[in-house]
Amino acid sequence: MNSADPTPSSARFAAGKPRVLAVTAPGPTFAEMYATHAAFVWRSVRRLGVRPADVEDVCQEVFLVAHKKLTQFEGGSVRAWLFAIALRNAADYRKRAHVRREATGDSVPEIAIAETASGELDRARARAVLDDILEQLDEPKRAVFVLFELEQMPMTEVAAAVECPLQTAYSRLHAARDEVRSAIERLQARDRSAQPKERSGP
Amino acid sequence: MSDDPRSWLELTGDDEPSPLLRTLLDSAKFDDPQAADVARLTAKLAAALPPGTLTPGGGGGGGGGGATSAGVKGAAGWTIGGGVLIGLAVLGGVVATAPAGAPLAPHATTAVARDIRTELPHVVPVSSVATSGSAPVLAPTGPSSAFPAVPAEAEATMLARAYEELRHGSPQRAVAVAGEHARAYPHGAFAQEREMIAIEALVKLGDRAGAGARAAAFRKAFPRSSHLPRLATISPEP
Repeated sequence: MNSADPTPSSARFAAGKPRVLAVTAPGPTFAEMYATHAAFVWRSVRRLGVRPADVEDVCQEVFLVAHKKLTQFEGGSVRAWLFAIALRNAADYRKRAHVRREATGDSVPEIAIAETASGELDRARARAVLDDILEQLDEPKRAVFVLFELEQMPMTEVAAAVECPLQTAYSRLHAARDEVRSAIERLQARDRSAQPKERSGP
Repeated sequence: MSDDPRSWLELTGDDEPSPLLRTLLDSAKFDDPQAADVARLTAKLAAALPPGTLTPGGGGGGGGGGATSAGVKGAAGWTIGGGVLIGLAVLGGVVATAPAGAPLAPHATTAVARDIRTELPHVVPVSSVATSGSAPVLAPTGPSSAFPAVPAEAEATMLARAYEELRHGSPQRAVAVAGEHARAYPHGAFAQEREMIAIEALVKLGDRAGAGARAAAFRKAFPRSSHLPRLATISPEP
C-alpha cells in the first residue's frame, strides 16, 4: 500500500511528471473513478472468468492497483485503463485457479443447454452456459467480445482497453463471434446426442 | 462511433442472433453487483486505503484530491441508471468522508453529494414507522435544499452490518439495523440497498404484509432501480 499523496491531481498534472501527459485538465480522483466505474469493473471481472465468489476480492485488487498507478494515468478512457488492469488481474486469478484445480483434481462441469419445459433456458443456467462459452475463447478475443458485445463499448475504446490497433480489435471480434457460434452449435449437438440416450432407457 | 459494427443484439435479418444466443447474451445483463456486494467492497477498500481516499476533494490516495466539476457530472450522469449504480455513484460523493463516529459536520463533499442528489429520487424515512420494521420507510419528497453532511464511511459499515445480520445473524436485528440506518442517514447513499435488506429480512421473519408494503414504497420511490428484478423475486408485486 502506497502512502497517500496529498498533492492535488491538478498540480501533479501541471508539474508534468513522467508519463502524465494530460496537462489541460485534471485527471479523475480515485474516488471519482471508483464511484463512476466500480460496477463496470465488477461486471468485467465477472466476465473475464473470475468465479462469482471471488469477484469481490479481484475487484479489490483491481482498485488497489488503480490507486497505486493513478499518477500514471495518461488521459483518455478511464474505463479502458481500468479494464486493462482488470484484464491482468483476472489473468493472474485464472492462473491461480487453474493451479488450484490441478492440485485438487477439480474439473469444469459440462453444462447442458437443453431447454426447460417452458421452452426457455432459465437465467442462471443461461449465464453458466455463457461462462462456459467465454471460457473457450482465448484471452484477447474474449476481452474484445466482452467489451463490445456485453458492455456495448465503442470499438475505439475497446482497442484502447485491450491495447491493440483498431483493425486488430475488429478481427478479434469477428473471430470471437465465429467461435461463439461454433461453441453453441457444439453444445446443441451434444445435447441432441445426449437426449435420445436418456429417453431410450431400459 | 458510426463506423462500428453493430453489436449482435442489434443485428436484424439474416444476421440476427438465434433466440438461444440472444438468451445467453441477455443473461449477462444481470452481472451488476448487488447491494451487499457494494457495501462489502467499499468497506474493504475504505479499510485498505488511506483515510479520505474515497472522498472527492479529500486529498487522499494516488489520484489526489480536487474533485472536478467534470468528474462530478460524470458521476451524476451515471447515477441515473438507478439501483446499485446509484449507490456506487454516490459513494464517490460521500463515502469515507470522516472516520466512523465522527461528529456530523459540513465537509468538502457536501456540494458534490448535493449535485448528485439532484439527479436522484428524493426520499426521506418516515420516522414513525422506521422502528416498526413492517411498514414502508420511504416517502417521495421534493428536492432538499440542505443536504446533511454525514459520516458516510460509517454508513457503509452500518449497511454491511445489516447485511451480515441478514445473512448470518438475525433478520430481526437486520431490520433493526436498517431502521437505525434510516434514522442516522435520512439522505444516505444506500437508501435503496438498506430497503432491499430490510425487505428480505421481513420476508425471512414471515412478515409478508410488512415486506409487501415496504416493497411497494420502494417501487414507487425508485421506479427505475436496478434492484427491481431481485425485488420481484423477494417480494413479488400483488
